[in-house]
Amino acid sequence: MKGEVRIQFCARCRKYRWPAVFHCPDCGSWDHVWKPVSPKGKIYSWTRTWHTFAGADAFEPPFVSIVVSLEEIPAVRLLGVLEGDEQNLATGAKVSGKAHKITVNGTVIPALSWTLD
Amino acid sequence: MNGIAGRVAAAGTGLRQFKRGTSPQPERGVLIGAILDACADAGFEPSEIDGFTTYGDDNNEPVRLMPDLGMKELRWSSSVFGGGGGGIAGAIGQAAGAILTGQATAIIVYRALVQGNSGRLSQAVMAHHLNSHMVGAGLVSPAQMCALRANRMFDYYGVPKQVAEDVVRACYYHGSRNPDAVTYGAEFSHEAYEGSRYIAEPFHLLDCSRENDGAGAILLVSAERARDLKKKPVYVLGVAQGAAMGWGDLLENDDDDQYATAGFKSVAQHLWRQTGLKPADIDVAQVYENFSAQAIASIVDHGFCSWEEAGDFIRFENLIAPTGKLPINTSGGNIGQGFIHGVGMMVECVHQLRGESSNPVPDAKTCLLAGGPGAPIVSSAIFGTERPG
Ligand SMILES: [Zn+2]
Repeated sequence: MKGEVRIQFCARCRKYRWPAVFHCPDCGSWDHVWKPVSPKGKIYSWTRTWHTFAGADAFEPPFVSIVVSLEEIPAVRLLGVLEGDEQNLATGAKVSGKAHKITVNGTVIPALSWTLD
Repeated sequence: MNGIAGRVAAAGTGLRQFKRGTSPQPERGVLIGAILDACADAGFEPSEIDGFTTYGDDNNEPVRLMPDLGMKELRWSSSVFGGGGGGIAGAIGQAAGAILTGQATAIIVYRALVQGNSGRLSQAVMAHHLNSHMVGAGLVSPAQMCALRANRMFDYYGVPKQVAEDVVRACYYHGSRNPDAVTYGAEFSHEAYEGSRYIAEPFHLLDCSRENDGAGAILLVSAERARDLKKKPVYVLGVAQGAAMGWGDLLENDDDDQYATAGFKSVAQHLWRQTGLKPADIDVAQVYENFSAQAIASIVDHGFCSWEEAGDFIRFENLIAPTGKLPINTSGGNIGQGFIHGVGMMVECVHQLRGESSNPVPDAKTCLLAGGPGAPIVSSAIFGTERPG
């Protein structure tokens, strides 16, 4: 894991695809590349979790999960946890993210964490 | 004739519900009991059952039900994909399709859930859909996923939060009058609702359906055959299932105009077109409420009101029997009656149209079953007391 955020991009018709596909439904291409994108965007929606759910042990309630519409590609939304100051938490608020790793049930997985700008 | 159009009917129902963790039998035993109840209700010989449909990753494989029921042959077994309750009405559609095409004659539509066997439903549902991008955001439960949609709905469409409370209050009102409901005799208060702990904002505990152990079943046969059985037939007028482009298992990338809905964009259109009915023709509705906000979105998706009208239309007085404009969840629904992955709502459609509900809607001729909202695949059905012209 390189700490980069990349989104699938059709090599032929040059459209972003997220979630990723094998086959481009627009141009029929099977060739895709993964393009780095800047992890910046706006909160599309959010929830603050208070209940302790099995499988979310990496995060201590209450914690805020957000859906982020990317600044570069607004149609693409990524998920992640909001860290730090939550005072201006609201739909539409600008956030910046970083990629890192967390361990869930002994497995290391990539994750995004975001902070309010 | 096109469509299902009342050519298939529900002839019997069975529902066995227990407090979570207290089922007297393992899951399959409870299910067999509910199926036998449905047959007894219909005056139907269980050995004549020849098919099954289900939804939501039910673990009970139909062929294993044959010995206990003394079945002579199995001609149909199928399940609607998806881990949530979105497929509930679709299972009725599959059964109707099998009967109308001569592939089976007597089908049990069922769902069984006993924690000791299948574990916690919320975890099973998520295990079906989870991937590491969601887990990495701490999103591991249906409550959280539906909370994301709910917050967007309240923000984007400006639906007043009071509407969610009114939905829950209506479920409690009906449940409190149903001796078989978990909320039988219970009082709902604003203080208890608002004071219940947060699960995932905007949901308080009382916005969430909570699992029960149990099983439910309805027996579907052709309309002709149903007329020879014990109870008044309740006809299946139409069923639609699926997802429109821009809705589904899309990692929260559903189209902007669908994200905060319950996902019925295509399904509701097909249902109305198929039946020739419109929202004003529906006398009573069982609106699957896994969470309060998703029921609101489902009511809007089905065209009973617009987002702008939601605050006026989805009011407590409008939602309760016998006088409301659209009485919903007349057994108490998932929140008030109990939650066996929604199967109780399917059973209530039949009870209501036979006049057997604890909260009867006078002269009700049509009942909508709006399946699990917000699921990647959703489905809806309409039942009626009469076959269309
Ligand atoms: Zn392409």
